[in-house]
Amino acid sequence: MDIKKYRKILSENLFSNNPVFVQILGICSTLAVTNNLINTLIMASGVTLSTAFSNFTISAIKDLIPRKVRMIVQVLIISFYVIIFDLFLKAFIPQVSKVLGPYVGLIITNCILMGRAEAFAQANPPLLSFWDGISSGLGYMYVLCTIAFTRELLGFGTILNIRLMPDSFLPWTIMVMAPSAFFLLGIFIWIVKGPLLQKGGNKK
Amino acid sequence: MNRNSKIYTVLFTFLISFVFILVLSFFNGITIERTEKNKTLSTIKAILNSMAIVYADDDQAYTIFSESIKYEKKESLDIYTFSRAADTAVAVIFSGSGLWGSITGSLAFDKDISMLLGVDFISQNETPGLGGRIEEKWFKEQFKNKVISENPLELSTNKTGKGIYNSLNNEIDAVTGASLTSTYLLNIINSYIYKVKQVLGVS
Repeated sequence: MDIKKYRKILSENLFSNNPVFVQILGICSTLAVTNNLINTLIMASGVTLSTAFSNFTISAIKDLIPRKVRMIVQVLIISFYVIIFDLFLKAFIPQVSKVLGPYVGLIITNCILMGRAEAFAQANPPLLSFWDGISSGLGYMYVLCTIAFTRELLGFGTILNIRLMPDSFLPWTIMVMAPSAFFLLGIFIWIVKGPLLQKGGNKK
Repeated sequence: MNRNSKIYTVLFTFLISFVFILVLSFFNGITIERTEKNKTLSTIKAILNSMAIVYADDDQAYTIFSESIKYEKKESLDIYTFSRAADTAVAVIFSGSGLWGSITGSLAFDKDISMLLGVDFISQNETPGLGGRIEEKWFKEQFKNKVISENPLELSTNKTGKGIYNSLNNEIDAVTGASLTSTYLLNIINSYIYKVKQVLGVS
């Protein structure tokens, strides 16, 4: 019974209700951090962990939260985890914290976290909410990684800072700049949504 | 108690803020020492890197710094002087505004202020992957052994973004897609070259 529920949440968050290409949330960071795969991976793990833990916490205390201050409390809990993540990076992986700079703190404003808190954690038990957070994070991660892979390969000729393209390869400057993420995300949505829409059509 | 009453709402908000902030400050307390240590270490490393001094690990960096480097403040400049046997170098901590926030780092000269030895950064908030690439080796290497001439350093934007490594030429290749950050950075560096020349009495 439960396993089925967990699997359904996973497939929804990864595909049919993906936070990035279906709900179009978290686009700001999709544009900002995807020109380098390592930054993207760290950013996405930050989002995944913060979403999971904030979902868990919000769900655990949801019966105590007065409706009027519901959102303030959600933001408080989300920022709590994001700040912990930031402190952790600063203390233990300073190189990474240096590279990502202000972006880590900006996870607080990532719409996916607030969206999952409000849409899922408010109405579901803690463990299920935790899982929803993890799977939403993964859904976000693989879309961003696909975009980052393309951008880093064409923009710098490298993957994970390892040179893959021959020396004669001329880097595409546009891939390093934020607008290219728009194009790539558009192409990604176009490719992925085709089959999804067809499936939806058949059901009717 | 009524969950939607005013008193409950106020109490709840107060309590939950209190609890979460308490935990946060506790966490901050246990990591602050490490964070501070990382900061000092990154400053030390930046100074050593800019002077092109090689060290094997963090401990060695500490030792070299405490044994061979002297600090003095001259007319608002933070100056670090390195001397070990015949080797000497002077580094100055620079700071100025980049595109998004301040850029600080260390800029090293030979003892006659006739040549740059190198540059390294302590902190910067430029866009990761764009302006943030000033931290990359190929970019910093361009400043290595640049002869200081009458002319300030100039930004070149017509190369392929691979760096210009000619010590007699005053051009620095910009980071592709980040000409603003590169321009601001070069302005900071030029102004510090000027200041150091004035303060250390070599014109």
